[in-house]
Amino acid sequence: MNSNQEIVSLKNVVKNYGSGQVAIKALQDIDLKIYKGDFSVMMGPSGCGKSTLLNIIGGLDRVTSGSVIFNGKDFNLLTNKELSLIRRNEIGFVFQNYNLLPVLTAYENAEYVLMLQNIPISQRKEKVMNLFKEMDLEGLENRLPRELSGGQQQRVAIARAVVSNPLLVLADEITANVDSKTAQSLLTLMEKLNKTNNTTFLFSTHDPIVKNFARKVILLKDGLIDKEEQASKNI
Amino acid sequence: MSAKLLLLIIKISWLSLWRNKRRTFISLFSIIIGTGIPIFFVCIAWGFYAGLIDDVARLMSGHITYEHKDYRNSPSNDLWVGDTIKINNTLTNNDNILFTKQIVNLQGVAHTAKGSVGISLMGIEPKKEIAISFLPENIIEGKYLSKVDERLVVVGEKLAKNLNIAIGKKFVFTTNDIKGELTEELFRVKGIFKTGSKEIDGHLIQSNIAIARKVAGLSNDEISQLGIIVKNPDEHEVLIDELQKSLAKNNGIFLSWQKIMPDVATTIRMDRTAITFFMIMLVVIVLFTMFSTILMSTLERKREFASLLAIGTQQIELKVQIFFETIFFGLIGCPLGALVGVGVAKWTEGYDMLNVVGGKSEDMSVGGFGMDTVITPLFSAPLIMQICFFFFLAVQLLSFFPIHLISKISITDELRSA
Amino acid sequence: MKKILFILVLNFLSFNCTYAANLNPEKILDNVDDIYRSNTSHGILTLAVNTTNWQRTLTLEQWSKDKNKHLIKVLKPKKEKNLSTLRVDNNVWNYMPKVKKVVKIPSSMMSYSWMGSHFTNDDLVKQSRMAKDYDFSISFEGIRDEIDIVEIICIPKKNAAVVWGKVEVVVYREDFIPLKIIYYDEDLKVSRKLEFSNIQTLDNKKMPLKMKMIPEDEPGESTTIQWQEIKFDLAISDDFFSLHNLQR
Repeated sequence: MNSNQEIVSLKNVVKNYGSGQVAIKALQDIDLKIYKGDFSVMMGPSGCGKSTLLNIIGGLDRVTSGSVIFNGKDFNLLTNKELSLIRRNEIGFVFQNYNLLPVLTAYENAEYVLMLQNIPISQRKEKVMNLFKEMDLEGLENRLPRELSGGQQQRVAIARAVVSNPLLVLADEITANVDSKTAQSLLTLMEKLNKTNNTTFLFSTHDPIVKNFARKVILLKDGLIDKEEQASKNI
Repeated sequence: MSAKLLLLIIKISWLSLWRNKRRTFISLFSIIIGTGIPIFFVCIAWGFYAGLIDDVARLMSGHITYEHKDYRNSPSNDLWVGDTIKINNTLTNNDNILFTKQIVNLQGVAHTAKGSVGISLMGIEPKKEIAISFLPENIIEGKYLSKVDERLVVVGEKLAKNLNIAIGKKFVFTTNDIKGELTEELFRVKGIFKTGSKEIDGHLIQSNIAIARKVAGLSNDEISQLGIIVKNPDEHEVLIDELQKSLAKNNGIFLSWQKIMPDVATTIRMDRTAITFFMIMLVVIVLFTMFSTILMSTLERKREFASLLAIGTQQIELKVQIFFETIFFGLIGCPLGALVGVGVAKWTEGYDMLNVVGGKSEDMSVGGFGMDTVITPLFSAPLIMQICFFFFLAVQLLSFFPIHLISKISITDELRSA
Repeated sequence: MKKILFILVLNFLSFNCTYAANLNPEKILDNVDDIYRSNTSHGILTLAVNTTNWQRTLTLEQWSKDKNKHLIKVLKPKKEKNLSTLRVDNNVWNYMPKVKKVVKIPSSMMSYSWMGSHFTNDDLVKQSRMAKDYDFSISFEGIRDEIDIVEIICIPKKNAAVVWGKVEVVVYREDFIPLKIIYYDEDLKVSRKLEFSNIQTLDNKKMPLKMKMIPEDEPGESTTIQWQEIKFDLAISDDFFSLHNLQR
C-alpha cells in the first residue's frame, strides 16, 4: 500500500526546550519522511523525544531549527492560525486519554470535526454512520463518553480522527489506557482503515503490541533516530 | 464560522454549563443574589420615595405649586397670588391633573395662658383636603374640619402639648396681614393630628381657608399657594413648563415640589446615591464570586480545550463557547434574580418596617417629613430591566479574562501533562 | 388683660375719683383703663426682673402721647444705655446701640419677653379696652382682709382674641385704684398675678407707684416696676415718637 507520495518531510530538525546552558535538547538533527499509506510506529524510552517529534509533525509545536514540510507546505512559514487550519483539515489526532468532548454524544464527537470543516449535514451523517458501522460503533451513537468503556471511547476518538479522511493520523500512546485485548482490537481496526482507506498512521508508543502492527518502526534515542527499519509483519 | 457550527458551539456551551452542576448552581445563585438584592432594595426604596413624595405633595402644596415668585425666598404673608379662580378652573380641566388645592399660609404665633409657639397656619378647603391629604386620616383626637367650621382648627399633637391645649380649648393667633398690620384671631381646637413628623406635629395648624383669608385680608380670588396633584409625578416637570407659559401671571410662578421642599429632594437624592453605591459594592462582591467560578471552570477544562485546539478548533470558536456560557448564566440568572427580587419585595408589601428595625415612627423622617414605615414597593419595569441589564453586562465582562486565557493555552504542555 | 398692663405701665393720667352710690362695673374698668391715661406723660422708672437664674434692674425713661405713642430708653446700667423701644400704633421697634441697628419686632416675636422681663412685647402694644373684650360683673363688694374693695370678674367674650379664661380685677372701693389683677387660664387656674402697692400722689395724681408681675408657673420669679417720678400733660409733639428719635 506504500506509495511514493511524500506527506511529511523533516530535515535537520532540532528542538530545544529552554535556552543557553540549561537548554534541553529534545530532538537533534532529525531527518524523516512519511509517505502516503504508511503505518509507522515511533518507539523509544521515555524522554527520547517521540512525543515532541509527533507534536512537531502535527503542527502543534515549532522547531528550533530545521524544516518541516507537510504536504508541500513549510510549517516554518505558516502562522499559528494556518497551522490550526492544517490540523483541522489534513491531520487527525488520537490521544492517550481519548479527550472526547464529555458533553457531546459519540456521534456528535465524531461529527464535530466535520462541522469545523463546514461539511453539509447530509454528508456528515453519511460519513459518520458509515464509519461507525465500519468501526463497530453502531448503537452507541447517542451515548455520552462517560457511558462508554475505555476501548469504546478510544474507538470514537479514532473515528473522530479519521472521519474527515485526513492525510495523516497521529496517535499518541493510544493503547496506554486500555487492556491488551482492547489494544489489539483497536490496532486491528486502524490497520483495516489503513488498508481500506489508505489512511496514513503514525504512532508514538512504547507498547510492543503496536510494534507488531507497524510496517515501519522508527527507534528514537536521546533525540536522535537510532534506527529506522521495515517491520517483519507485512501485508 | 458557519451558522451550524455556531449552533453546535452554543449547544456545547449550554451542555458544558451542566457538567458541574454544583458549580453552576453556585454561579446562578450568585447571579440571582446579585440581581435580586439590588432589585429588591430598589423596589422597596423607590416605592418608599414615591410614597413619600406623594404623601408630602398631598399634605403640603402638591407636586407642582403655583405661588408668588418671591415666596420661596421668604414665605411672608404678604406674598400672595391672585386671579386664582380662573387658573384653578383651567387646571381642573387638565387631564394630567388629579386635584388642585388652594392654600392660604400664615406665619405667626399661637399663644395661650401657658405660653407662645411660632406656628404656620394653613388655610385649606376641608372637603378637598379629606380627598387629597393623609392628614385628615391622622386625627388622633377630636374631629377633622368641615366647611362650616369657622374658628375651629386642627393642630399637631406636639403643638397641642406645647401650648397645653386640648379639644375645645382656645388660643390666640397673632400674625401680620398682607398690609403688614398686626392682627389677632381666636381659634378653638377641633382635632389633634399626629403625622409622625416633628416639624408638622409641632408647628402646623389647619383652618378653613375662609377664616385664614379673613385674617390675612385676602379676597376670594387670592391665595398663598395653589397646590397641584398630578396623575404622573414622574412627568410633572413637563407640565410645569406648559403651565408657566399658559397660566402664570406676572408675579406667579409654577414650581416643582423639589424646589418647594428642597430638603426632601436632597435627602432622597442622597439616599438614592447611598443605596446605589451600596448596591454597586454588593454587585462587585457577587461578581468576584462569579469571576472565580467562571475562571475555575475554564482552568479546569484547559486540557480539553487544548485537545480541541489540537484537532483544529480555532481559538475564536472556543472563546465564543466560553462567552456563551456566561451569556447563559446571565440569561438564566438575571431574570430569575429579578423574579426573586420582585417576589420578595411583593411579599414584604404592607409590612411595617418598624416591626423589623424597631424604634418610633417619630424618628423616621426625611427632610422633616414623617415617613410611612409600611412597605409599599414600586415596581418600575424600566428600572428593573436596567438593573438586570447592568448585571448581565457585568457578568459578560467577567468572561473576558477566561476568554483571554484561551489564547495563552499551550497545547503541547496541556497534552503532555495528560 | 395684658391691655390693661400696658396702660398701667405707660399711661399715667390723673384719676378722677368718682364716688358713686351705684357701682357700675363698666365705669370702674374704664377708670382702671384710664387711670394712667392723659395727653402726654414723661417719667423715670425702674424695672427689676427676678428669675431663677438671674436678676437685673434697669432704669428707664419713658414718654407717651395719646394711647398709641410710646418711647422708652434705658438709662442704666451703662452696658445697656440707650437701648430703646418705640411703639407707634401696632408697630414696635427696638434700637440696639451696640450694633447701631433698628429692628422692627415681627408679629412672630410679639409674644416673647420684653427686655427679658415677664412682660411681653405684646403687653406693650395692647390698647383695646377691657370693656370691649370682656363680659363683666361685680362679684364682691365690701371688706376683705381689712380692705374695702370691689371685685370685678371679667369673662372674655366668645370670639375675643384673649388667651385668658377669666380675669379678676380688685380695686379700692374708695377711689377705684387697682389693688391686684389676677389672670386665669381657660381651666380657671391662676396663670399670673399683677399686684399694685405704694400708693402715692405724684404731680397731683394719686397712683400705685409699684406693680409686681408674678407668673404662677414659674415660682419665685417676678418683674417689678417702680415709678421714680412722672409728669403729665407736657407739650410733646408727634414727631418726637420717630425712628430718628429712637436712635438718638
